Amino acid sequence: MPDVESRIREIIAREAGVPRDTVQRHSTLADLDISSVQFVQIMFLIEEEFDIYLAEGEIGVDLVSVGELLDAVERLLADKSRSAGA
Amino acid sequence: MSPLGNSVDAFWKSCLTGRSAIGPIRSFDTSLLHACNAAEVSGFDPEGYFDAKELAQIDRFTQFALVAADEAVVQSGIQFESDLACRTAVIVGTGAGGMATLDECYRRLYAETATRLPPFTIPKLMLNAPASHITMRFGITGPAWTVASACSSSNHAIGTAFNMVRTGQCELAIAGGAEAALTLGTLKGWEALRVMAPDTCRPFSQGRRGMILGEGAAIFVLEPLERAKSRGAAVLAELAGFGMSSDANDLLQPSSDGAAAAMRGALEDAGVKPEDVTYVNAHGTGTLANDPTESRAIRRVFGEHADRLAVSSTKSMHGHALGAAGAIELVATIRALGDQIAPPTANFLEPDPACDLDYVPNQARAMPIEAAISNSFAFGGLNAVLALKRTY
Repeated sequence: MPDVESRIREIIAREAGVPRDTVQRHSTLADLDISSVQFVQIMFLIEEEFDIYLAEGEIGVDLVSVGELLDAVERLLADKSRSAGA
Repeated sequence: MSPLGNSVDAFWKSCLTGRSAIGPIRSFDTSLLHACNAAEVSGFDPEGYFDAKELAQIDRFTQFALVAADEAVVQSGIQFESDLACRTAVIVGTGAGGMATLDECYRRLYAETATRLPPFTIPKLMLNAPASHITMRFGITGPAWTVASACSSSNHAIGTAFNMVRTGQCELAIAGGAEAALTLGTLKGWEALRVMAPDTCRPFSQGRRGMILGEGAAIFVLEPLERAKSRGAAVLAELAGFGMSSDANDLLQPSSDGAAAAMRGALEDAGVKPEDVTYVNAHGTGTLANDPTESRAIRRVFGEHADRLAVSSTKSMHGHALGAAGAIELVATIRALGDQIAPPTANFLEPDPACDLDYVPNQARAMPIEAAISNSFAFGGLNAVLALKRTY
């Protein structure tokens, strides 16, 4: 299975309708011209893909970069595997 | 009808104490929700108001509308005799309609694979049910309909009724809003928009985490000022202006241009100068996006005078009643004018640098209020603002 980063970049690229190469860690959602509706859709698709919950307020539409989003998802996945192992 | 009380007086008394009615949802199991708090109407026994036959035909949002309409009509002292009944309009705003009915039917159909649904399913859930039942309750035969513009529904309904009364299209109007959408299905939908607070509603405050849903209804009787005065009615306030605009921008992100245009429109329509306004009942949802945007819009409309305004969001206490929000908040605005007290923004922690107005934090404030506005801005970018003047 592709790694977390490529799966997230794929989701964003597909939803934003841009080539995958343009979705870089430093890209903000504003750089990618992602609307508020596309943003909530991307959050939904990421939650579905990884079976996690991205809490309200953790990720803001106006400032989030792909890297920050990735970090948040990886943190949640680490928490999940820790609690599954416990 | 509101989470703060089931009459105007009970509502206003709670408003002034700054007590918030937000708490854990009691009416259904919230184990599937991440954000489990809301502001529910409590202490309301439908069987005390309606007989079994009526109850079988009306959803909770219509129950709220009818109880509120009863209070309004009694307070107005108006009897809708036949010649007046056909010259009275009924316009009620609602965002969602009979969501409890819809939820229950879908559960029966999909989960329990029922082969038939109760015959009142559609008449209960249809958005025009409150308007229809109000006409039947009071024998009103003039124009009646429903306005649905999400969180601006009430203000659009009241503003439209105001326009009809002042242009003589009808002599009187009964207008307001009703909503009862606190169901698991609705809450899950809202949760997916990522705007729900897991704790409480703290409009304009540092540490705010989103909105909290409420429910309820408020209904008004609109009458030309001279007519009301000549019959010796207790005039509560003068509805003086109505402003509307559309952002034409984004479904979810509010725009300060659109909000400012609606506020400016309401003031111009009312012939009220910005510096005559001292109280603003804000839309103030408590979301990260709304509050700074609304604050900027207020500053743009009022200029330097914005620093002398009292701006509060009573949603901090009664939650966001969606299609009923503007109507419930109009009760607060009218009572603020009548009693010369600005209700507070409850749950306020610390100022947020992005929200730089006076939000009447946590404590009601006695102050002169000659003119006020009440803001409603809906998802979808639909804005509706009412301007009011004090009456003597």
